Amino acid sequence: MKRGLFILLGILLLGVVAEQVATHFFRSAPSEWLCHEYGLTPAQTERIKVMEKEYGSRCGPFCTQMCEANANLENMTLGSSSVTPEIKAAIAETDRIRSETRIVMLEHFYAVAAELPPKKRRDYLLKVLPLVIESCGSR
Amino acid sequence: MKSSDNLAKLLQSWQPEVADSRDFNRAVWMLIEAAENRKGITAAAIFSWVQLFARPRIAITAGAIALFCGLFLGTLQARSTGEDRYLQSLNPYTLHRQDH
Repeated sequence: MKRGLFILLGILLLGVVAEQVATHFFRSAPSEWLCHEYGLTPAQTERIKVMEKEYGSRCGPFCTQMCEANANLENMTLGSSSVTPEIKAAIAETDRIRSETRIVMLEHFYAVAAELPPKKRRDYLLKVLPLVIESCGSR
Repeated sequence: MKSSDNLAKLLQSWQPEVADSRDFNRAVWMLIEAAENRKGITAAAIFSWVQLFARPRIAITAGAIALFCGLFLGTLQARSTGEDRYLQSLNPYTLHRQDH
């Protein structure tokens, strides 16, 4: 019975390892999922990849600014016992950066949507819009 | 006095119907043994199928099925996480963390 049990455990282990290897091996770049899901041509896929690179380089600085602004706001709020004009200004600064980031994101989403088949644009926007618009459950 | 005489008579007439102690012990032990045997048979019956994997043909077949199922599930898993990974890649804060 022991031999059978060891072989059974080995078989189960083989299945788990195969699952992990397949998950890792077949995992494609995020943009490839988009191209596969929306049936894009190789030319469109290339354009999407270029757009994504551009998007990354545009969004990166905003994120650095946001991290700095958040750290500044945190220091100010911890060192104060009331909402001072400086704290109000720091909050406004984080909002400004967030708004600019959202605009860049939205521009990218529209650019990507323009590459998709017209019937699928709305579906794509519904997927990505929660990243820039906080939903209140109306959709 | 009369009541004690009645009691004595009653006790004399009483015939205990308890089995012989030797037979009784043996019967109890037989019952225990039978119960133990039943338990052994049940456990063996439940795990007897494990023995099948000791046969090379069955082990190879089961291994091939496990391999196929693993690869199939892994492929599905890779595809299902594609959307989440795409959305995550659009998040500027995720992009920032990947850069550093």
